[in-house]
Amino acid sequence: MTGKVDVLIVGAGVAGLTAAEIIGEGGFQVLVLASGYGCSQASSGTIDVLGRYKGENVLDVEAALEKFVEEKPWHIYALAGKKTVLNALSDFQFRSGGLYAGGGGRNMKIITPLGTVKSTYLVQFTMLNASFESLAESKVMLVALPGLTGYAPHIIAGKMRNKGIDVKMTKLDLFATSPFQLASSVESNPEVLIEKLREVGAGDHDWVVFPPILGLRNVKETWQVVEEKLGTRVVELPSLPPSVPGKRLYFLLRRRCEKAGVSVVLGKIVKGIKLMGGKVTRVLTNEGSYVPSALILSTGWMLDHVLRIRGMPRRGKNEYGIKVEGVENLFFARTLVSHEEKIGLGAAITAGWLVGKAALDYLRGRK
Amino acid sequence: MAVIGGGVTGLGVARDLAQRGVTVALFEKGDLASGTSGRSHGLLHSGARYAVKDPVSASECAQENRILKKIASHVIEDTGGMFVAVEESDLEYERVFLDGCKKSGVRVEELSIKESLSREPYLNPNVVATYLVDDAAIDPFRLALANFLDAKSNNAQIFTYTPVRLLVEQGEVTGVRLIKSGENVHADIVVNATGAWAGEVCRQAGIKLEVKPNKGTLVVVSKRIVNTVLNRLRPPSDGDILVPHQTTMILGTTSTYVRTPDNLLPTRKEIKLIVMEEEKLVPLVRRLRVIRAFSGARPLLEGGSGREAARTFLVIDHDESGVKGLITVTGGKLTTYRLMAEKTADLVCAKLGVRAPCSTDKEELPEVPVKSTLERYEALEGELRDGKEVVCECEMVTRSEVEKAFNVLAARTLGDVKRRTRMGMGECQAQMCAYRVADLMAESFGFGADEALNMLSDFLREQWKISRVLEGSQKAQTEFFKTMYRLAGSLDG
Repeated sequence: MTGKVDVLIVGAGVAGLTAAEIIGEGGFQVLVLASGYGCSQASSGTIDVLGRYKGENVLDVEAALEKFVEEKPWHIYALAGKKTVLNALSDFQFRSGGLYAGGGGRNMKIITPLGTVKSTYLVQFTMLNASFESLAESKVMLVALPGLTGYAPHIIAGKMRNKGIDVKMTKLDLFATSPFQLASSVESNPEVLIEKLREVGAGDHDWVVFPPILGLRNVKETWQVVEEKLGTRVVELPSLPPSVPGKRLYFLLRRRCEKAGVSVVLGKIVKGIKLMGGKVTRVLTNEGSYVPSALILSTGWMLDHVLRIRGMPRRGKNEYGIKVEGVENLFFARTLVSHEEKIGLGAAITAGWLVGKAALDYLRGRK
Repeated sequence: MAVIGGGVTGLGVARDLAQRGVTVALFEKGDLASGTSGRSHGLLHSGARYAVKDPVSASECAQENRILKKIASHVIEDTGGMFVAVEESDLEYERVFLDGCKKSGVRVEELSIKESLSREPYLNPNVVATYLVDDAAIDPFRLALANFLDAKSNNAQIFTYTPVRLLVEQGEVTGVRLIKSGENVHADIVVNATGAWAGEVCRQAGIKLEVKPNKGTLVVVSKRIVNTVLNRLRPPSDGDILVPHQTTMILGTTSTYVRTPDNLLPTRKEIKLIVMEEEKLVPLVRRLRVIRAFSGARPLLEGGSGREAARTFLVIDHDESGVKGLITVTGGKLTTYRLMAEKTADLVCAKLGVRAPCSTDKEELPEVPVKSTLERYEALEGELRDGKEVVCECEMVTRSEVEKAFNVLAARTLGDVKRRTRMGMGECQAQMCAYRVADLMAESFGFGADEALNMLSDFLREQWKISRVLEGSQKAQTEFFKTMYRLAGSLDG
């Protein structure tokens, strides 16, 4: 396969698909190539923007971002500016069709799959009450599914008890080969799950806390049915990868890209690029080559660790920008995950947004 | 009687003495086999490796090889071994090698190149000579556990995570002091079986003992593509032995003197050197994934370079130099641990007036109630049919085995579970099972949620120590999992 295309994007993670949608909506032809499904389903699906700063948990994201960008002028947040970061995030939330909740310049504290607490910016609406504060002083049923990995239910229950929550654990014998399959089967037939929970008296509790299995594509309806039929409030916890919320996020971004007319081709590995006259002129892959007007590399940290792309212009150790000097049509959506500062998909959305807009400007300027 | 050190030597001494009816208590500062034993190549030497330079050690190895294959067959995979000349220059060593083996009673058999290649198809096709020896793969953790169980069944008391100091009264060793509790335990004789740490322990009684810790680095690759222990036919040097272990292969080793045996970490240079050298034996090795590397401390006895120093052992009666109540056993090899224990126990018994003879060379070691990975693969179908929950998919460790590690085999931490079951020793390096086992600990073993999380944190920190020297996809994988635990799981530490 060989083709001329306006924009070629390498990588189908959150940054790549965000940029793809923006450029597609701008009326240009976009092709996304990726070797696999991208990193979104390897995340827990929460949008971590800045959870901790200088060792302190962040609640007021706006205030913390202001200091952060001053201190780290090379970071993607600083390149975008505080206002653009927050705009990109509220745009993301707005376009999520109700899947994401929270935001408004403030973090919320949620329970992680390991029972610890994390400050995060946006969560899927099913997790809005996944906090020790929301569950305090109430009667909680925690659903455990032996064989379902991705969270540590006994540690979570222990933590809940430590906080004085009256928690009862229920082990359900629902067999699944993967969390995706389980979520999908709950979506197509929620009655099985509901029946099993009724048997163990789920309705007598204030909350029923689930791992994220309440639907894969149609979460809202699945969640509503479960809540209504159980007659109690229902909440989901996030999970470790491979995670259902991450997959939901992936589906969301793919749907949005499709609407914007973006094509996504999986199973492609970029092997090299050709540069001529300060431009990328050709992109070589394991199957065929492409001639794009602009190229966006949104391969995350894989670029630094694993990928070997022949002909890639070298970047300095501390060059974190979205451009490399001397090549006008090459853009990097480089995200900087930070364990210490709890920065995750927030940086990916910002990078995708920033690069998408920059590429759009570049293409418009050429016309 | 008190023994300090819970490696195979210390446990071997405890087992030997307990069998002879002596009351023994063993104290180990960490876990069983968490020092040099667990950081060894897991190679049951035929003796051939030492036949030229160190004939005493060679005959000891040859003798113990035969004994261990009888008494510990369940922790040994009798792979056989080969000595392989890969370059013409290696052949200069051939004559002295064969002479040395003959003199030390080490069995060697010539093998045609055609036969060796049909036996090991991934062997370098350009080899110029191959010899068959009696090497085998031995699991040092299961060996330690078998000795532990045998000693316990004969009423020995074994305390892990119990660091001690020698109790010295008027120039005489009278027992040990438990550092954590401050309690004194009196003993007629204290055996110092701390290997590379023996010098440190002796210093507590004012004795100067020259034990030089010598660092050896080993590299684990994710695939097992040979089924025979391979040795390079040349004077012992870096990176010339390859041992198949369960589903992996361990390549090694190096030899450098270090100041202290604690906290040894491999360097990137060592890993590269080992892989480069082993490529000459098995060219495909370069393309296998290095999933882990580790370094152990050999207790070497004499000066000279690390390769020249003798691999024999010493049993020292410090009474002869004026300090009563202390015996040190050090030096030696994993292969000769039983002989070291026998000689030590002989001396102890002579001092205590115990007449019972040693029986450890005849009595089989007990079964370990946790399977090896290869046994698990064989039993897999049945296990799954029984509805047993698998908690570590790489090594197929079941939930009931984790339970046995805690209930029967004295595990106390996630690292202990790993040493007992191989949980986390496979391709994912415990990243997908660590939190599940931590959760199991909170469920079934009375750990509080915070305790389980702290344990998980400590364990992962230990697992990740190696990540800075790894490369390529293994490095990317480790970074990914770090993000999973620290960002998605918000686990700090």
